[in-house]
Amino acid sequence: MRVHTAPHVFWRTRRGQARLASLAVVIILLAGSVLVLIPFFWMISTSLKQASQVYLAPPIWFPNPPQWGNYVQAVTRVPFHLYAWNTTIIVGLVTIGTLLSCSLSAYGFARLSAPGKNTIFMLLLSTLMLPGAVTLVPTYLLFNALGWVGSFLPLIVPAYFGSAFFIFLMRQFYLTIPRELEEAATIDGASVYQIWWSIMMPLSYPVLATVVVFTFVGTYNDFFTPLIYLTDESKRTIAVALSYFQGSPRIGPQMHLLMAAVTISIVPPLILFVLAQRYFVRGIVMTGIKG
Amino acid sequence: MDTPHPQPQIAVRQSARRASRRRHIEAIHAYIFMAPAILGLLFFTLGPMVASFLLSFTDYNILTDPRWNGLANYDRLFNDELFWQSLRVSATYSIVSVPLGLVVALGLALLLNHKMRGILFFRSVYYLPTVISGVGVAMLWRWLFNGDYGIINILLRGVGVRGPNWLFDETWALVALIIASLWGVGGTMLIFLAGLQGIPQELYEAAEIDGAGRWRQFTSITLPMISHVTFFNLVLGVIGALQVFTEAYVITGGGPNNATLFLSVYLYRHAFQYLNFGYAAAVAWVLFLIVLALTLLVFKSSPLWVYYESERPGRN
Amino acid sequence: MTHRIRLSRRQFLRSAALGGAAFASGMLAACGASPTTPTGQAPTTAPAPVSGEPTKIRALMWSNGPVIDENFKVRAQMFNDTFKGQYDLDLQLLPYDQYWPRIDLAYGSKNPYDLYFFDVQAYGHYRAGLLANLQPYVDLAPELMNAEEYPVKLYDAWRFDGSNLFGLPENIQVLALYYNRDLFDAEGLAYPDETWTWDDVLDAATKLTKRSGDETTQWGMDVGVMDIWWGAQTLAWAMGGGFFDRIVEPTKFQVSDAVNVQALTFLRDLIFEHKVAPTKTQRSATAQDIGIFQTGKVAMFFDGSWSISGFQDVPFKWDMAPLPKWKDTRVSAYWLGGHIIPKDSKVIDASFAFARWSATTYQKTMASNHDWIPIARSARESEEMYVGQPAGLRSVLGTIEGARLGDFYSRNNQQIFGEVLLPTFDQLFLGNMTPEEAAKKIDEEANALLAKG
Repeated sequence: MRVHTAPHVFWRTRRGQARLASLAVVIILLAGSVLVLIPFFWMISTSLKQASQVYLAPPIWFPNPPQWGNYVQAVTRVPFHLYAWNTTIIVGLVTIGTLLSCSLSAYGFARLSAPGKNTIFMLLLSTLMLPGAVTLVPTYLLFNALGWVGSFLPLIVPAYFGSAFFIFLMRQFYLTIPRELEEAATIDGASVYQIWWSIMMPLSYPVLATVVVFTFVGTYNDFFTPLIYLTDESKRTIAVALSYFQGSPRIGPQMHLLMAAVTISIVPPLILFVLAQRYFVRGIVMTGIKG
Repeated sequence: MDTPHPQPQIAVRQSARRASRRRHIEAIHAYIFMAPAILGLLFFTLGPMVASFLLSFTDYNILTDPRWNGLANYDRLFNDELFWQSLRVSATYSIVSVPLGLVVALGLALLLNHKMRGILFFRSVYYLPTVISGVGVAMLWRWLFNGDYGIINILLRGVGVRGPNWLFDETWALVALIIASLWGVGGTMLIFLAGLQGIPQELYEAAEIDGAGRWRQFTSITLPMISHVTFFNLVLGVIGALQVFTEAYVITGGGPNNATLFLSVYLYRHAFQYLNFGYAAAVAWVLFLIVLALTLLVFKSSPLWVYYESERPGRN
Repeated sequence: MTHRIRLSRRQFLRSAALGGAAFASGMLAACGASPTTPTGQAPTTAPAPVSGEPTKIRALMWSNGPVIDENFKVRAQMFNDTFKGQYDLDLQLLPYDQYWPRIDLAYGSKNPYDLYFFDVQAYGHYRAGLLANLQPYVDLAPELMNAEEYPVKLYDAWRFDGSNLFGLPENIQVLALYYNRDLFDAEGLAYPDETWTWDDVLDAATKLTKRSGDETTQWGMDVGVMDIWWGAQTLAWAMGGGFFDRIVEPTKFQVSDAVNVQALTFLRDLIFEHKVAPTKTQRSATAQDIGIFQTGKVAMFFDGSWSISGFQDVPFKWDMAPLPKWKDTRVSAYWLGGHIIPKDSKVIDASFAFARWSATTYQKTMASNHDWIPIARSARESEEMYVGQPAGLRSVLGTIEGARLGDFYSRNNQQIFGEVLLPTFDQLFLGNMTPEEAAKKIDEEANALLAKG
């Protein structure tokens, strides 16, 4: 057989080189994965221990029998379904708001010219440069004056008014899209809004997916903002509930329960990330233009 | 402020009036598109920013009304040794962690851009660390960096090196936090990955035909074609690194002996623990000016190294 | 939690509470269950509920994890059941890191909570003129000042202006010596008790320290909280010293006094001279961030009474004893937990009713919950208090009367803790500084900060 006869030549062929490269990539990635995953392994291992096993040295890696009950406890200690629902509402509305407001604004900044545009852009960017700790107090007083404290509004509404980070990110991507497409569409009589919606948006799936993942993870994990603005226990989110597993400065956490809760909490963003990868493919429209 | 990326001049000969009318209409559209951002600035962000600026000239403890005290906070700040210490810590951290983070993120993105089976799995693994919330992360890191049982020192021992007791060692605590920052590089990596998706495959095919090697392809195609995301990651990396808070606050608490006292930790303490909010605002505005200066520097330099498809010379 | 967190913030959990028997425990036990307000317990100043609407009280406490938090919610429910139609306490719990910013923001937006739990930070609120003087209310509730039932002398620390009480205590904490019984048994040594001196501790620790080559496999002791300023100060007190001149608004730090330096030297020598206790570095390596005592590798450990619940799950037998004496003298440190009320609260009467109920009727429940130590003697010394608790707890609680407050109150105490005491003690116990150097540095820097007020 031909393949058989020339193993020493195989790596010189194009296919062979590709295979070899893939092999090298897999080896590097595997080694890195081990480093990345070890802490997670420890986390899951701890989440399956009895309270007394947490303290053993050297540590037990495979608790036997695994205490699946820790997960039940972590979920039943708090009204988990209610918190999951609150989280869904907040994360969902924030993600939609961010996508809409940021992609609109970014298009304006990337493609259209208007007096003062660059000043506005730098102003926008500068909002990222001031530490949040010092704007927290005036912002709280503002939302308090609006009567929003205690409701979801301080968490959701700002998302509909753009975020400098995502506007900047999307602007960068829009700037790389060839202008010919828009020029052609303009000649066909499309308005700027149609161009934004039917050309720019579909062309930027990878960045949109990035924005969705970032917004989701950021909002999902944020426990500080809800703790500051929400008062009612029935309005808590999953991240907030997690922060209650920490104990206090003196009375430490029940590590096994905390780790069980943390493990559960990383599942939804992980699922989202896997789903979002479908949109991580090179521009669908892009290939269409060629022909 | 200067135009970082001037829009290409429209060099079509038309009557001046028609051009002006077109510009006028375009500007209206532009404002409509930018409306969410502009309104957001007006409603939610500029007000609190200005307020914090004014508060930096007051004696304010959050509890009671602020009292004007002129430049006293700024005067005190420049004479506070801990302020300078925290500035040093933040600067050292940024200078090392930003370039390192960019290189590692780009390297990972390149590997993860490889077309092969199982790549989805790997991408998820490397993104995983950014998904976990702050509460769990601190525990993980303290365990990882433990002098005796920490996995890092176990690995080092494997190659015959006796690792330091990272988080309790003045010299190594900051290094530990820089290493920790690499673990969270998944976000930057994802942005690079999104950038890599936008490079037309034809470019590589053409280069291949021209006989360009892999390195040549990387420097002449990949790097320029993702320079717009590199630019983004650099700007946001600098902004983020100078404000890094959670890691230092939850993992080392600023210690040992202030070795990891980041500016943001220093100002948080003053704002919410020492009841010196006015002073914290002054620290924040000094930090703001530093970040702004650096950002402008990066923007100024961008025409030298950032390449946008839509600005290809001779395009219009 | 871990040493790192513990050292990085020095607060404890002394507030909160649970609790126990009130001063006439028989009568009150009956009222706890009864919805009718007992005579003598009715808040004399409470307004009669208008149109059947109960008075709403917005209260805040910090979270201590799911189990203790649940006890707090039950407590609020008990109170609301007891005063049905009269009061409606809405108790929220926040993680400690968000607890103080939230209280500050509530003040800043002119909408303060009606009641919250005390920790040192609250002294800043007093200094800003925001706390209600509770003395007039206490005067109308004489049972609260019954010296037979309450350690009222210890309340003086909360008379911030020298005469009026600004908070109502409901629980108390002291320092203790914890020991691993298994390790003492293995060595055939007698357990520590209330007669032990620091020399006895050093003797036992020397015998209990096991080495194998360069490596220490078992430590005679761990200095625990004795390497924090308020822990170390207990030894200085016993020797006749003290780190500053007074608790409320100290004017001078005097750590450099010979007696104080002697105390620091003794503690430091346990680690670096006698090598019977691990250094911070060795401790963190051994402790794996679960707490070094829990690993079973140290025979003795110093910590507050708040740690009892944290040691419940350890895989060995342990007990506790009072803090050791220096020669003939023992001075432990105590901390009060209790309620404070903003002066701008619209419902001070109702809020005080809760504080009062917590310090009386509720004390018995606190005793049986085993999370906080009731301030009322009848509850603290009741049988319920010791069910399932370490045998030494009773004698540890016996040291409360002679103890001194392990805090000081000044406007910028948080800054003195965070920028001077904490890092300097760290350096001292890391072996990077001599006791003399550390003492000098603390005096200079802390006095400079005190001067700024």
